[in-house]
Amino acid sequence: MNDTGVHGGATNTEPKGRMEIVDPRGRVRESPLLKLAPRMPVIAGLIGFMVNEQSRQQGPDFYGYTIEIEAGLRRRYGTAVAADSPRICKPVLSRPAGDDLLAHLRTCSGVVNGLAK
Amino acid sequence: MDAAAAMPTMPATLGGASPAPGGGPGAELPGTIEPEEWTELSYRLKLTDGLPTFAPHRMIVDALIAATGRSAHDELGLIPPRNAVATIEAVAANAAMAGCLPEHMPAVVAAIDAMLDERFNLRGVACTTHGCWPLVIVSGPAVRLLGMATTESVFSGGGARANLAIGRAVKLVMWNLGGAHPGVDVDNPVKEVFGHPGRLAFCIAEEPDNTPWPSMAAAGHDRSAVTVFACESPQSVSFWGVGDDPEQRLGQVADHLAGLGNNNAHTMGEALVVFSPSEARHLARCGHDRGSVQKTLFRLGRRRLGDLRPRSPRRPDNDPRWWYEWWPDWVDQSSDDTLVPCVERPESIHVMVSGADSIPWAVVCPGWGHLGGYAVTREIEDS
Repeated sequence: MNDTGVHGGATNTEPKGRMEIVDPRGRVRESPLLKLAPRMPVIAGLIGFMVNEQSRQQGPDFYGYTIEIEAGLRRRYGTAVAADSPRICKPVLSRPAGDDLLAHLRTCSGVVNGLAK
Repeated sequence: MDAAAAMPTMPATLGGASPAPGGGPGAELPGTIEPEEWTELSYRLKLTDGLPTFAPHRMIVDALIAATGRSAHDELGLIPPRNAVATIEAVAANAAMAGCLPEHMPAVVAAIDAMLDERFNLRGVACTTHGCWPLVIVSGPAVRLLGMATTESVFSGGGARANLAIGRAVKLVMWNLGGAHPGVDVDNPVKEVFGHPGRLAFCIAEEPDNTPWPSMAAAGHDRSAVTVFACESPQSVSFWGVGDDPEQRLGQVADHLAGLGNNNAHTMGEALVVFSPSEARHLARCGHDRGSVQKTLFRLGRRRLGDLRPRSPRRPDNDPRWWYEWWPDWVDQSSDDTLVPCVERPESIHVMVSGADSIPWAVVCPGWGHLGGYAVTREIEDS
């Protein structure tokens, strides 16, 4: 079957000359979820960390990095960065964190999380 | 901060909302073009991953939409990571680029719909460092109706247009609507390390006739279905060194399933085994049905915990603090001699028949593990 002329079928009805094309990229619905988080104007307050893989069975040790980053922020910004940064780990690294975990970060001024691992 | 905001996101410049200056990626398409302009335009706007495509001509796209029996504006969902809306029209535009015929469209739509099931974790599949990709498996009467290849070289399309066009349409939907472009930019969430050739077009068909077992899709003999499963490329299992004993032969398959370097061995999840018709017949003659094959592979596809996780700074001893939290409780992680199965239950090893009916053979497609990409089946709707 192919009587629609699709891709030069039996009855090729494609017009000669200019042709109208359809954008295969569709459209992105405007959503805050599609934007990167804005940069913090000032590094201060409570900075939280979200770690994809606490068990760090392979790859970079992002959990360890967060400890170093927290220490670095405190060195650079002093007491402006609050102590006792919350640090949460996702149960499954490939899926978004659930609301119960994110609740621990809702009071933070900013959250640091990693890509991939 | 909500759950989705916790995930890395695509920068607006790749999101299509802000046309890029100079006609590069992200630029708007002209409404009409000369036919000979398409190829270079598609490369300039990065509408293809590198392979040439057909132009998404309005007339062709409309024919593909009509074949679905649905409105052009019907929405299947958002295709991650870019999260463009997968309308029937947008899917049809990509199917047109892939060379789909109208009769392919119900299978393409069913595949996209299945991939959007939460169990599949499409965002994760699109962005992971792992080399899995959605394998589209067509089952039932559609296999013959669409002229799909089920014999020689089935994983390479087998010379059939339908296999490659359907697989290619899925790829282009991921590319154009999902924006799943690999790249090193820190803002780009797509982090595949190697990928695999199936990412260009990954579609096979289940042998509907020359098989001793009913369809894996369990849709019934008179119904067609599409199953999507995110997996690695097929890994050959030839039956060197074993006799006719099915225990030995399935042991050879199980050894691949529990390969030390694959995700299943360490995190379980699901895997796919494809038997050639002659091997399936042999197993059936020995009394095996699909269920008993799954149970045997589940029993044999195991590794010693001490081999899976040799002692190291990351597991200095058997203390519970080093245990994998994703393994079920019945896996005794206190002993190095525990035999750990590569999946959590026999049914997690999907078994199907396809390929040439020449010599007995099998392939194993390891999955992504417990991270997602689980098999999801959708019936193919009659248009």
